[in-house]
Amino acid sequence: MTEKASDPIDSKKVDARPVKSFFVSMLTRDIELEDAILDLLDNCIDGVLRSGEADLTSDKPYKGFWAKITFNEKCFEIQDNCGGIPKSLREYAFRMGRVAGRPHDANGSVGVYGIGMKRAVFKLGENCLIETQADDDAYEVIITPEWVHNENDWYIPFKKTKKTSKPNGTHIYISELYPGVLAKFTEDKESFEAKLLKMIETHYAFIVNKGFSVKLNNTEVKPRAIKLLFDKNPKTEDSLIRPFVFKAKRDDVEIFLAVGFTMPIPSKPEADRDQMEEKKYSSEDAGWTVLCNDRAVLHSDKTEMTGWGEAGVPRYHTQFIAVAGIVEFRSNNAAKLPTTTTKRGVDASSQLYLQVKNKMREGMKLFTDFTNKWKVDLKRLAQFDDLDELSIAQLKKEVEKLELNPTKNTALNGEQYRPFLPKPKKALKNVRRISFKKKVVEIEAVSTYLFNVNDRDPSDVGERCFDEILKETKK
Amino acid sequence: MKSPAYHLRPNKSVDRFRLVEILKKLKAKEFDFSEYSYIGFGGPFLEDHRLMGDFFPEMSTVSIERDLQVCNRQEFHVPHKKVTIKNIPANEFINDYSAGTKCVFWLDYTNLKPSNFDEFKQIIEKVQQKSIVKITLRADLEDYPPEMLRGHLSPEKQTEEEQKFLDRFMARFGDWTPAGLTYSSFRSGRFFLVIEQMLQIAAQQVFPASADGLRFQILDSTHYSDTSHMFCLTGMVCTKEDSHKVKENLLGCKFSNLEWGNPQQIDVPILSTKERLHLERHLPMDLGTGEVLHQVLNYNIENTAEESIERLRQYSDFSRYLPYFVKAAP
Repeated sequence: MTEKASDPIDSKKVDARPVKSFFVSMLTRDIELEDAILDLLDNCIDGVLRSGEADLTSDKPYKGFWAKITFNEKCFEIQDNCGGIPKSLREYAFRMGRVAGRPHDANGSVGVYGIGMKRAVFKLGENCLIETQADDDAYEVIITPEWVHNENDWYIPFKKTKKTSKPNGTHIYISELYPGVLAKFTEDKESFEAKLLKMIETHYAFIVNKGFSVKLNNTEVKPRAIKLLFDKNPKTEDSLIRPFVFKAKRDDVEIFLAVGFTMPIPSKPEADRDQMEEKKYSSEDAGWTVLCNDRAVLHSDKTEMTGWGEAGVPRYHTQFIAVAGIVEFRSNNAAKLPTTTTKRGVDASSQLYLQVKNKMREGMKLFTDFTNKWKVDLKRLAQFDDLDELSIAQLKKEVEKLELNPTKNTALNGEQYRPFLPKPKKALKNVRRISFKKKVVEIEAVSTYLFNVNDRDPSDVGERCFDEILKETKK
Repeated sequence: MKSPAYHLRPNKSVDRFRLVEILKKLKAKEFDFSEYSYIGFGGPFLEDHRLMGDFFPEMSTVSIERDLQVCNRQEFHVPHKKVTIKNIPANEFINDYSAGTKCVFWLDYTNLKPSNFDEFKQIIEKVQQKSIVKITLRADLEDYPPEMLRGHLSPEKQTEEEQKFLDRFMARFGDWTPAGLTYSSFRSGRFFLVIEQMLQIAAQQVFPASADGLRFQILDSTHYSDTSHMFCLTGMVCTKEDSHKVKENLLGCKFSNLEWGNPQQIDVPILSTKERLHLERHLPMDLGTGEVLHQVLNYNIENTAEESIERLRQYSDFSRYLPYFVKAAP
């Protein structure tokens, strides 16, 4: 249905009302389908927090709560037992944007703009049924294609329903899927499902680790959280592998930052081979993960956004495959978190984030320098043996036992732990690295000549050649 | 000899002929193979190039071989004058490849590495429309610890080790792994299904249906074990409309397999020449071949009658393509 514009001369007003198609067609362009679905998951967690049933002091505050996502050629569904949308929010939850007078969100939620659920629905399809049941209310809301195309009607039909014995929660059912979405759910199902699962495994790793259960098309999501190496029993305090840690509180936002190694650093030949041949080590865990109230808004980032390649920190290269960091922002006021409207990115202009980024670079440089110093040594560092791999929760417990030093008179005051990483012995200064490239078939031929096998490590082949000639020179 | 003895592997030989059968069907439906070139890893004897020359003499062929000694051996075995031998590693050839014509490209790997999937993606992205790409991958994992399946570990330790194994696999192949993988997905009798899904995901990454452009239409998928377990996938890079036509063209062709998720097993029996000659008098036949041939022999060639009937059914399907091995005295 089209709308006749009012005549500005007659009425002495110009029409500045919002256009529904802007919300339906334009806003949805700014978000990927996967991110829109994650927005719906965010709402589930916000629901748990709103219900007040999560014991936030425990290790598993979300235990017993679940969300199930299913999609097929007919529909998309997300169902949860996360408390439902209560009566007090009914008038606000379906508005396009956040209006004054809306009750305060529960502590720890991430919703700021009041757009996530609607944007996700409009991204997926034209027909939507939302059923919800809370302690004090049970109702359903239906969005139809007619409503979507009617520019004048801004009210969505709502119907009270009978409370059932099912647990309180919300069920969103979307059909008449848009063609691009339908193609992803059918012809591209395998790749889309794998990608979405991986995103939930990484972006929701911290929440799933805290007990929340997510199923995607009946597959249980297994968390893939970053773990950092930590030497719990160092022989000496001035030569140990532990992360750099920084903690601060600024303007109602708590910050926890840790950067270190996820695995032993690769030797230089290994790093080179990784580039030349195959991904012997996966780069997946390297880089920075940024959490806002437990949700990962950035996962394993290796760009300037997280400080790589600026202010003295080298650009990411596979030799830094073992370097990873986590920054956690936590606030009861979600508007103060440095995240974008899609909640899948960092607000790069946030003053708070820029200040934290200085610390990220400071910590990261410690480990990139270490990698550069040690990469010439072909033997694996003994200090990497028998280390514990700690999750962020475990790391926080260990950090409580450490003596942190205050960082005063800096842009962001806080306290930090700076490990004394092992230093190469001075004798290494008399050592130079020899590096050269040869054809694979030639390396294989020399390998066969020297070792009787054709697939000996190229560095071994090169080193043996040198040693043999060195022997000759000493004769 | 460094290279595997391709010519001594009966199941692979059958798989090679399945490709020929598909191409023959397409040729009968107005595919002009003089517009195509065949590109493959010929091995020392250029067996696949010989076959292509026999059945599609209009097609030129290119062999990619990184080992100079093998190239020299190939020169000795050149089966026809349309063969070009290139002494170059496959990855370099693929990096530099620029499609001048349509092609039938066979990535005939003997291993399973992440770079195999990258190269597969590169090739299906680079070839011209209506080109056919076949890939063979090893469907065994070298580091799959079988003893863990035999209850030698405590349940907790087993779960921990299984998760470590999955993590290692994900670390290498995470870009293509399907949802819902469990440790049992890696058993050697099932792992080929995972590989097929991984290739399907790789193809969807290159040609997302939501982009409404080209797609990778599966033409055949098989698995077999001569020495190692291998998986093969054949498909065509084409438009949606062409994919419908190709499916129609291959309708009823028992050597094609147009749906994902159901790779056909090639498992031909080992029969003596005397047995083969005896059975061939009764071939070809359309229905109940396994049962009839079993009655003809009147004894089991495997442990049970059911197994024997299944293997004889395979023999009936592929008998024309099975090489004869004979001992020749000088």
